[in-house]
Amino acid sequence: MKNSHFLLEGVINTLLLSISCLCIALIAGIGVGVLQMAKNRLISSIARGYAELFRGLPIVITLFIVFFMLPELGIYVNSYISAMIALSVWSSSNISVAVRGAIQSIPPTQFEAAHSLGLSSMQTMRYVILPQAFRRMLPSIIGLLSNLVQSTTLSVLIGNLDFLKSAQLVIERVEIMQGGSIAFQIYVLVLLVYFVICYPLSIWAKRLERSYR
Amino acid sequence: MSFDFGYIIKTLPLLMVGLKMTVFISVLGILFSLLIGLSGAVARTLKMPVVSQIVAVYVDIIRNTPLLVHIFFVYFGLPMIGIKLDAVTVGIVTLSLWGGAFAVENFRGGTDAVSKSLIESGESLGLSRWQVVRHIIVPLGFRISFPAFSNTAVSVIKNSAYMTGIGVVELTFVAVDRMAYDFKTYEMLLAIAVIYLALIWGASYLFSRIERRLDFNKKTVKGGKGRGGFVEKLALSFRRGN
Repeated sequence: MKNSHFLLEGVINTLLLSISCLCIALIAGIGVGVLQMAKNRLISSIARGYAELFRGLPIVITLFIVFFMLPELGIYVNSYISAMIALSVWSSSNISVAVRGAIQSIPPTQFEAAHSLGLSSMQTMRYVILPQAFRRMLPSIIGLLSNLVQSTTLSVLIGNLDFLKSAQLVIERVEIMQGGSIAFQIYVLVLLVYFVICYPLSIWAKRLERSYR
Repeated sequence: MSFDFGYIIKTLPLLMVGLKMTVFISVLGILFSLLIGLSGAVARTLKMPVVSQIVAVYVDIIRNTPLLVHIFFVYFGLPMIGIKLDAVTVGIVTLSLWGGAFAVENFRGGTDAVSKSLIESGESLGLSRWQVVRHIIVPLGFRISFPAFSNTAVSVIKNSAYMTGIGVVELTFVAVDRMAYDFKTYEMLLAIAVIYLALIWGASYLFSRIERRLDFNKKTVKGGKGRGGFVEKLALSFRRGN
């Protein structure tokens, strides 16, 4: 009973972490994505560099960089916050590329029409382009959410108590208290739970993709 | 903050040991994913009874569960039912199965696109089922879907870093291990970040070259004409990595 409660807490932690990362990444990703289209070459190349860098690095490395570097810079946060920052950085770089792709896929007549109506470029983005772009990138954002839920398991490596970690602790506890190992059963359960979370997401993403085609 | 360049030079031989393992696991992982991907895609395209369903279930399970859990399951869970593998083997197996599941979907896009009439004309020429697969579906499907597969292949290289979790002595493991001994955090993180970027961007570039060679229409890289330079092409090739 106590173990199942502990596991449930782990699931909640995992979900909280993924959703908070997605929210941060959406805001940052749309910002960076729009900046990638900026006329100023310096700004656009910095934004592109950010996306390329964090899409190129393995998530584990980003995670370690955040986890080990922040204390050196005098910022002390726990592993949950470190994981949140690292995963947000990673997913925002992915979202920014999706945003740029979506913006580029919108016909230029939309920009011209908005301009001729007297909208500023800021207003054009806000009221004309982004609402359309958002619908086009929705499938990839849902796909990313599923990816994000799976990537949160990496926070185990820096000691965050997510679902996988709680499962490991339950295995250890049972092993100490009762002898025999239940690693096999628990890991099957873990696989099942992640599948139940991610499968609907990927089906949803696939369906959205088909409906936009 | 003091930055000790000498330390990076000093640890370089150790990092190279890790790099070798990373490359070893990744290359085997990519090769096996290619095999699993192609055969799975053919089974799905031809709708082979039973096999096709098994492949579909396998793909769905792997794609919707985290790689780290696969690794722990195989490394800690399977010994309970008598399957004991050492860490490196677990790494190669899990990475191949992971990459394979994504590759099935990648290649299916290609094998499904091979037109029905080609297959039928092959059959009417008296080719056996196997010959149709071997001479028509696989080569054409491979060429069409190679760009999609190259993304998966690059992800396989990146995900080899997960093997740190079970103590495979690869690049990330070596760096973290060194950090625990010498506390040279900046130096080690910078060093492995640079090595990984070189590895991954290099692989992306290589794949984009192969893509262009395989491309039927001999188009230039995305972005069309007139964006010639080497750096520009390199930059374009990065954008496709996951």
